[in-house]
Order: sequence, then structure tokens, then C-alpha cells
Amino acid sequence: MSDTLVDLEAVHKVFKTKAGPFTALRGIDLQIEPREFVAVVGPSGSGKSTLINMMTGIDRPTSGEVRVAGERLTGLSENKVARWRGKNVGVVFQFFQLLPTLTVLENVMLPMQYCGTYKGQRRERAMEVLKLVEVPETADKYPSQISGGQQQRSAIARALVNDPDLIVGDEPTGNLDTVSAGLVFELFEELVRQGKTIVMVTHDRELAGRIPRLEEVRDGRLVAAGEIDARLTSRH
Amino acid sequence: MASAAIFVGVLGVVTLLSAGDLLTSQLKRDLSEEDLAMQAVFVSAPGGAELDNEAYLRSLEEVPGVTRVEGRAVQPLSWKLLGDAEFGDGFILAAWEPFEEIAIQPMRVVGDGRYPSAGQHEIAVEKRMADRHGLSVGDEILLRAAGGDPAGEAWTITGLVFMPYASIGGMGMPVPSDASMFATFEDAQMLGEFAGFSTLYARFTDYPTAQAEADSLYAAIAQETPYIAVFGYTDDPAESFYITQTEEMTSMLSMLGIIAMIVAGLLVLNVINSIVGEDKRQIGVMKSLGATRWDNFVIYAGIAITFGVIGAVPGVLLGSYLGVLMAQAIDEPLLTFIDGFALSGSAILVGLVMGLAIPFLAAIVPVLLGTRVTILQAMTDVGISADYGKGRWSRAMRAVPLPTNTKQAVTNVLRKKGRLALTWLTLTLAAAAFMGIFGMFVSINDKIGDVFDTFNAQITVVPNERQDFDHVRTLALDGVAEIEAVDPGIGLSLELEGYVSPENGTSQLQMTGLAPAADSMKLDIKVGRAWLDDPTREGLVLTQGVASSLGKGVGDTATLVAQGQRAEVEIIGIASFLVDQGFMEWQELARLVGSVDSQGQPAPTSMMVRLSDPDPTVAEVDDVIDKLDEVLLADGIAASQVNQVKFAKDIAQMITMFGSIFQIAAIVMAVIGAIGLLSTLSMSVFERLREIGIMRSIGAGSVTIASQFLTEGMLVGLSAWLVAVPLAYLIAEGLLASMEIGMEGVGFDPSALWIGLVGMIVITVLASLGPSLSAARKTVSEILRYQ
Repeated sequence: MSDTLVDLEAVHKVFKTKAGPFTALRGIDLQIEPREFVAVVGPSGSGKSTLINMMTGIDRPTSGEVRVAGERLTGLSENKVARWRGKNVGVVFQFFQLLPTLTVLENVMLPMQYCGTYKGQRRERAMEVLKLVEVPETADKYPSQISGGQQQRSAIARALVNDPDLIVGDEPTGNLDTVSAGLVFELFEELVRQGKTIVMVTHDRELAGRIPRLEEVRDGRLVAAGEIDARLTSRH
Repeated sequence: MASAAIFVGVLGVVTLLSAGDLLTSQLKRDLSEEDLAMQAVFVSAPGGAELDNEAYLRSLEEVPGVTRVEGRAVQPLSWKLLGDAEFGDGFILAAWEPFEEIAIQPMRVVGDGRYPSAGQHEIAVEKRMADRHGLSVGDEILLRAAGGDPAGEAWTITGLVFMPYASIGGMGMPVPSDASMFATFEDAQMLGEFAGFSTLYARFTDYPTAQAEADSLYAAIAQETPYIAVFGYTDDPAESFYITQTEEMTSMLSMLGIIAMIVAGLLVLNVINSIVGEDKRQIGVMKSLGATRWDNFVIYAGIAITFGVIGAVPGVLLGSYLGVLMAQAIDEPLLTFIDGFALSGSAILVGLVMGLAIPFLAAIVPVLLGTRVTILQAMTDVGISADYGKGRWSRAMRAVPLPTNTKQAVTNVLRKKGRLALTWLTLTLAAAAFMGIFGMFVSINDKIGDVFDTFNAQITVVPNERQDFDHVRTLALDGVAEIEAVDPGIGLSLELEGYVSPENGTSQLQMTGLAPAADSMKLDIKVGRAWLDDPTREGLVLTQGVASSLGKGVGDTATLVAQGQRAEVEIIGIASFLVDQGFMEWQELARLVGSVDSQGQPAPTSMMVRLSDPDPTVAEVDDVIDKLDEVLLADGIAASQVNQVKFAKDIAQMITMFGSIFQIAAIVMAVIGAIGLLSTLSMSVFERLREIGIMRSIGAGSVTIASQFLTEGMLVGLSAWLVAVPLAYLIAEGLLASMEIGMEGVGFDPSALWIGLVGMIVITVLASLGPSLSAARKTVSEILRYQ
């Protein structure tokens, strides 16, 4: 069995719209190994979010295969994908998306409740990851009562709580100030050092330049690594 | 959805208002305040005696305050069309005064024709009887006189008569208009083999005098005439119960309809609120292009009015039609007659105005608030709103140890307090109205059932004149095989000192004379032994209400006034009964009031007939009545016979019918409430799509999502039910008070609460199911793309 954590083979995605079919992904082949830190970049509408949605099972390919952590996602029902995702993938959004009517601690405990993990230890486990992301003091507060940076760290704690191998972020620093964005990025680097695999979409070229592996999407295709390097070099 | 609610609301309002307006207008056209009796006394005439009716009437006019007294006879009569095989049941109505001189509750000839003349075999028929049987002036029908030719004699119809006032027959039963015939008093006496009146009508100088002198009139009847007052009523012509009972009922129905309409308005408010909320971006875009707040207001208020037009127009059309049908369905018990199709202008106007104004008014606040959004607010609406956590509720909820899913449901309900309040109010009102009405009618039904259980007889026979009981019993037992027993009974009205009737403020108490040793009446004795040990015991059994009114109990003495004499009678028992009543051994009562036959022996005014079959059908009892009628008529005895099985069924049917009308009004509200909940939860699903997406993205399955919305619906429904419980009790008490149902022990049956709970659960589950499943079916990709 291969060690590859994320394996996309010839993935096509076509959206049916009233204006006609729109092709978001055109035959993507992508493999990501465990403990990799991958940045996905590209202009708006290039297919970045669609690509990471394939990895999380949030969206399904029109054709091609998606395997993540050994699971063939295209064969799973919506409910099974939800359960699988809760256990195996941590998702971090640009706008944090903490549920406003639950405290931070309750938000962090949700994936464990949904997936039936850590029974009898959920509160302790949630506090453990809140400490890991250095916001334990926010536990009993509602999302509206903490800063954007704290909200995003709490959201990362929620993504980590079931100890998934893969963390996927869709512009996780896009709605943060520079200082908070830097802190979140350092946290991601630390998580990779601890053995997690992180795939994040970003528009921030500077941050992207600090990520070991860069994948650029243009018009639904991955751009060759050499072309990216050249563009990054020309910027600097 | 909003148009559907407006349609249902307008339909209810127009139907109920139309029916009420048509009925009361018809009654007001037909009834004249100057003609209504202020006091009606139903009397029992002595048997075989020579009567000087003219003298009796004139002596009664000597009672202080009395301006006029008239006498009527309403007696059963067998009749058939020429060529028909069998005789049917009808009634002959006759007045002592010549037809043209009747001044109290008169009838009138309609169309061509005239009143009948005496001795000419002439008769008039009620217009509704003529309509039903295709009769017209000049036609002949066959009437069978008591003791006369069994084949009947031909009588000619001289006119069609409209009788707008109710005529009361034997046992106080209203005579059906479509079986009413009119003859001169002499001809009626010959046909019905009677000598005396069955009803005395009196008018006084004014109504307060009628109230004050009612007991004097009863005393005069007892002392100056050989008649016995069986029961009676006082009625204020200015507020006659003929009209007020209809007005009260229809105004209550109209109120329920208007509440339903207001509830529909609440739903419009919710819908407009959500539409404005959904269109926040669009409003922002329009403002950025130069649209003012007024421009936006016109658009969304216009949407509300459009909802109103779509709902109101069909609601008014269908409601007008249903209103006529409803008026025709309930006109008979309300003592009027709705002929053909008629429209109620006021109902249509109210329906249209409410159908258009209520949605407009309901839309004002949400439209004004919604269009206040700034361009910046509209364009920067991203992610999940994170303003929760600053209020008292959120601080309280933080401390409540609930499962997360339930906590989310509770907090989500509380986040939309305004919308919640409207939906909750709708459901609360609907549940309270439904349970209140249901509880009241169940209670009435139960109590009336108890009364019928008290009487263990299937037929009540009321001879036109008092007869020798043993003779009639022998005739019945020998002549009709199905009859097992005939027991004597007396029903009359008597003055009880110290008693004040809640009905009319007089001291007249309805008294029943019974045979304690017989099995025809099983009183529910609550205090004392009554006749349990000794069926010959002398004394009086009172109902609980009467005993309370007197402040007396078992062992005390009550004073009855009969024939001008005061009689002290020991109270030997307290019984549970539906209405105020007194009970005595029938012979003791007969002697007290002078109800005797020609030999001076106690004579019952009625007889209770028990059949061998303890549970006969209506038709089987009717067959026995026909046989008994043959036997009695052949012996020259005319008598009213009441099929108690049919009577019980008719009463139950009438209560069910009136109950159903009220229930329909409550169900209209419940439907609107359900639509409200459905729309509220649908809006909630729409507004929380992003939340659903996030929950799914971190592992929540369909059941988790669906159960949260289902829990929200149930929370709203169950809390509404809880608050509706005391309200239902108050509604039942209020309805009973406004309907003036003075029935002992009638109130609110708690079984309505459990039926209401089940109904509420069904409604909330049904209303929540669609939005819950819709939420559960959402996929993360759909949501993210949509957002």
C-alpha cells in the first residue's frame, strides 16, 4: 500500500450552470505525501478551492479518482464522507466559521461528538488542543467575544481535535491582520514539524514563498513547478 | 405560503361573518320587538273538564303590569298527502284569537291565499312545509282526527303561512316548521281532541315589570285557571334570545375568524421579514444605483399587497358561498330560515379590507427595518453572523448542561425572538382555542349523556289533556308488544321560596314527578338517601345548584308554593343533574299542584315508556310510537310522543355540529400556525445554510442536522402548548359564560389537553419535517457554491 496521503488522478470537475457547463478542474494529477506542507496558489476563479474541496470530500469529481488516507472518496455517500472527514481531515476556513451559539470549547468538541471519538474525555481533549494552539483562555467564551486571530486559532483547534493526518485550509490567513496571520502560519509550521500534512490555499505570495511545496492552479490545471519558481524568482 | 395563509384567514372570516350576518339579518327582518312575548308559559290542561278559556285569559290580564295574554295550542297531528299509504307526523297550531287579531308572536299569510275558516275543513300550512311537499293553495291533504276515521278526512289548503317565531310542542320541543299546519281553535280542538291551551303568551307594560311580576302570573295561572304551568321563560323583546343567541354565537365565530386573520397577518410579517432579509444584497445594489428607501419600500410593500390580493379574492368568493351553506345548515336550531343564495355585503367588505390591509400593515415594520440596511452592510455580509453571546440569554445558556445539539436548537430559537414570538403566538392561540372549544364541548356532551342516562325510557308520551294513568298504561301494555313498562311522570314549573333562577331571575323551579319504585329514572344522588331505602318516602330531592342557591341541605325544609298555598317539604337528597331541578314522588307532586283526573285522582302530565329491547334504534322506537299512536287515537286520546333515542341523537348531533363549527375556526388557526412554523423553520434553514455546511464539514451527519431543526420545531410547539393549557381553560370558561350555558357541572374536560398535545406534536412534526429533511439533504459543496 502506498504512503501517499492525497492522491488525485485525472480529476475533472464540470459545474452545470445556467450559462452552460463550466469546467473548474481539467485532469488534475496530484500526490501529496505525509508531513508535507503544500501551498495552493492561483488567481481568483482558477479552481484552487475546487481542488482542495476534492481532497476534503466536500465536492466530488465529474471524472477521475480521489483517494485520501487510503479511502476512495468517490465511492462514499454524503453521510459517510461527513463522518470520514470529521475523523481524517481538519478543515480551516477563511472566515473561521465557528458556530456562534456555542462556546469555543463546545465548538472544538463538536467533531468528537459527531464522530463518536474520545468518549468521556472530550472536554479534556478539547482543552488540550486549545492549549496547543495557545488560546485556552477563550474556552468558555463565545466566538463574538474573542479576536479574529483567536477565532482562527480556535478553528484550527477544532480541525485538530480528532487528530487527523491532513489539515486543509482555504485561505486561513486571508481575513487576519499581518501579526495574526504570521502567528497562524507559525502554528501550521509547528504542526507539520509534529507530523501533520497541511494543504492551504493562499493569495499571499510572501507566505506561499515560505511553504516548501507550491502548487499553482491556472484555468483548472496545475502549472509545472519550473514555471512557478521562475515567477516567484522574478517577483523577488 | 403567505397567500395561502391569507386565503385561509379570509375564507374563515368571510364564511363565519356571512353566516352570522345572513342569520341575524333574516331574524331581524322576521321578528318584531312589539310582537314578541315577554313571558311564555307552557301549560298542561286538565282532562275532560269544561274550560272557559276566554274567562281565564281575561282574568290573567288582571295580573299587575300585564297588557295582553293570548292562548295557543300546539298539538300533534297525523297527516298525509292524497295517495300516500301512511300517515306522517305533523303539528296543528291554533290560537284562541282569530288569526287576524293575534298580537303576540303572530304568523302571516304569504302570497295568495287566506287563513282558514272554522267548520269548513280548511287549513293553512307553513310555507316550508308547502315547499318541502310541493303543496299550494287549493290542494287537499288528509288529516286524521283522534278517534276519527282511520282513513283520514280531506282538508283544503287555503293559504301558505310564514311563522317566524318558534312554536313549542309537547315536552318543550320546538315544532319543525316543515310539519306545521294552522287551523281555527275549534277545528284544531276537534282534530287534536283537546280542550285547552298548551301555551300562554303574555306581554307586560315593559320588560322589568314582566320580570317582577312573573311569579304573580304563575300564581294566577295556578289559582285562577285549571291549568298547570309546566315550564316557562321570560324574554326581553329588545334583546330577544331569538336574535341574541344567534348574534352571540356568530360574533364568537367571527372573533375566532378575525383571530385567524390576524394570525395570518403574523405569517405575512414573517414571510416579508425573510424576503427582505434574503434580498439584503439586492437592496444594497439598488441603493448603490440610486434607489431610495421609499423605492425599496414600495417594492416590498407591493409584494405584501400582492400576497393579499392572491389570497383574499378567492377567499372572499369561496367564503361567501360557504357562508350561505353554513347559514342554511344551522338556521333551524337558530329558529330562522335562509331561503336561496344571498350575499353578505359587510362580510365581503370585511374580508377584502382585512385581506388587503392586514398583509400591508404586517409588512410595514419588516420592510422599514429591512430597507434600512446600508450599502456597506449589504455588501460585507460574509461568513456566519457572530454577534451571539452578548445578551443575558447567551450567558444563561452557557451554564445550562444540555446536549450540544439541543443547546444549538434552543439558542437558535432564541436568536430569532421576534419571529419566534409570532410563530409561537400563532400556535399558542390555535392550541388554546382548539383545546378550549374541544374541552368545553366534550364536557357538555358528557353532561348531556349523563342526563340521558338518568332517563331509562325510550319514549315520553304527553297526552293533549291529562288522562287516567292506569287506563293509558293498560292500553299501551296490551296494545303494543314491544313495551315493557309505562311509568308515570310529571313535569311542571313551581315556585320555590328563596330560590332565584339563574335563567330568568324568578323563583320558578322546574319540578319532575317520578315513580321512585320504577326503573324509568335513575337519579345520581350525591347526598342523602332520597328514595333508596323507601320508595314511598315523602320529600324533595334538589340538584346541587338549587340547594346551594337556597343554602340548604338534606334534612332541611324547603317551601313550595302551589295553588296559592305554601307547602313545607323535607329535602331528602341532593342529586347531580345538568340543570336546576327538583324531584318528588309523582303522586305527592300531583296532589300538591292539583294535577288530578276527572275522578280527583292524581294524574301524570307525561308517561315514560320503556321498551323490552334496552338498546333500540331510532327506527325501532319510531315503529313503536306509530303502534302506540294507533292504539291511543283509536281510544280517542291524542298525545305528543317523543322518541328519546332520536332526541338524544339529535342533541348530540346538534352539539357536534356547533362544536364542529367552532373547531373549524380553531383548526383554521392551527393550519395557519403550522404554515407559520413551516415558514419559520424554512427561513431558519435558509439563513443557516452556512452553519449546516460547517457542521457537515466537521463530521455532522444528516440525522444530526435534521434532529436539530426538528428539536427547534418541537421546542416552539411544546412551549406553545404549555402556555395554551391555562388559556384553553379560560377560553372554555369565557365561551360558557358568554353563551350563558347554565349547566351544572359543565366546564372544561381535561382530556382536551392530551388531544391538544398529540395534535400539537403532529402539527409541529409535520411542519418541521420538510425543513429538517431539506436541511439534512444539503451538501457542503451545494452550500458553499450557493453562498
